Amino acid sequence: MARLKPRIILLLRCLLGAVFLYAAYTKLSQSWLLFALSIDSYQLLPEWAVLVFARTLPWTELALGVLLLSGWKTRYVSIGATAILALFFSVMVYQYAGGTGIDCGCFGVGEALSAKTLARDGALLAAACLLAWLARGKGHAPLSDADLIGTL
Amino acid sequence: MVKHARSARFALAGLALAFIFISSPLAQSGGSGRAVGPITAKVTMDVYSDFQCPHCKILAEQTLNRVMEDYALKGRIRLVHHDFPLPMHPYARQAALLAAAADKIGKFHQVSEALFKQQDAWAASGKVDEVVDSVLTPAEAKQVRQLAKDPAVAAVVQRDVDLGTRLNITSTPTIILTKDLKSNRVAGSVSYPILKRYLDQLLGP
Repeated sequence: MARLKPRIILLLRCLLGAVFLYAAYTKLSQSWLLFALSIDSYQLLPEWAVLVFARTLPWTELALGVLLLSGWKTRYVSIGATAILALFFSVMVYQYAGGTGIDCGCFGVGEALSAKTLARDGALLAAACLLAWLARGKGHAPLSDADLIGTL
Repeated sequence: MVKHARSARFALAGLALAFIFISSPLAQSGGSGRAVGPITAKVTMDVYSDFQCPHCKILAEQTLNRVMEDYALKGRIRLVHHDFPLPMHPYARQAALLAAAADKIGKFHQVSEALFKQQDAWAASGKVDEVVDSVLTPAEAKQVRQLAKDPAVAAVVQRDVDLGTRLNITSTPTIILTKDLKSNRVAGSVSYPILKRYLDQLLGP
């Protein structure tokens, strides 16, 4: 288990890092106002907050993706990733339960909120929770080169 | 030589007819309350809507009315209504048929406005006709009821449903914004100030 743990951490970091980078890319490659419309369709935030979120969220996702892949302060970064995914997931569950036919907004616009998107985000949240749990405590050390080669 | 001259004359006549059509009020309005704004507008906004859907009511009353006033009626965009009655709403198709019938006598806007305004009442009672009648003269109401039974009117609604299905639309309202053949879609009700910002960005300075 001691040898397996760093490898699981690496796999989770790569998975979540790639997902955050892709999510950021899909949003940053189109007009930020289109993403603002997607956030607005949730009808939870006032106009100013929608605009702030639409401007900052893709960059936050980009930063999380880069930090997860780099392995810097994994303990804290994984807590941040868990918090943001928990926020997304709870808002999505709330809207889905209310029967609102809106965009998920997860990877840009155009993807409807569905049981499939909920399952995907739930799985990502579980992965982030696992990463935060595995990376907890001071004892977590980054993989050595030998471990890294072994994992890959 | 004579043959070439004749072809050129036909081509010129065709161009002239096309120009006349594009500049005509018919093309400017789309000839229908379901489509408002010039066919040549830089941006087209297609809205797939269900008269019995509460979020469509919010979108229509709080956002689309202002989009119509500020953009479509001023010729800046083309705003197109598409019927997409969802199977879960038992009176939505009937409402769509009556609105499409009202469109034939130039009363689409009045009827759709009334249908959204009194949505709670007719969605509970099923008395869609009464709501439609309330904004028409008795003669118009009779005509609309007859037209609603016309297969041609049903075909208009079905054409929208088929188009929406082909576009993988699964919920209402769904907005598709198209500029330069590039489309982006947003599902759900959106507020006017945010949509206005996006439309202004699409239309440019």
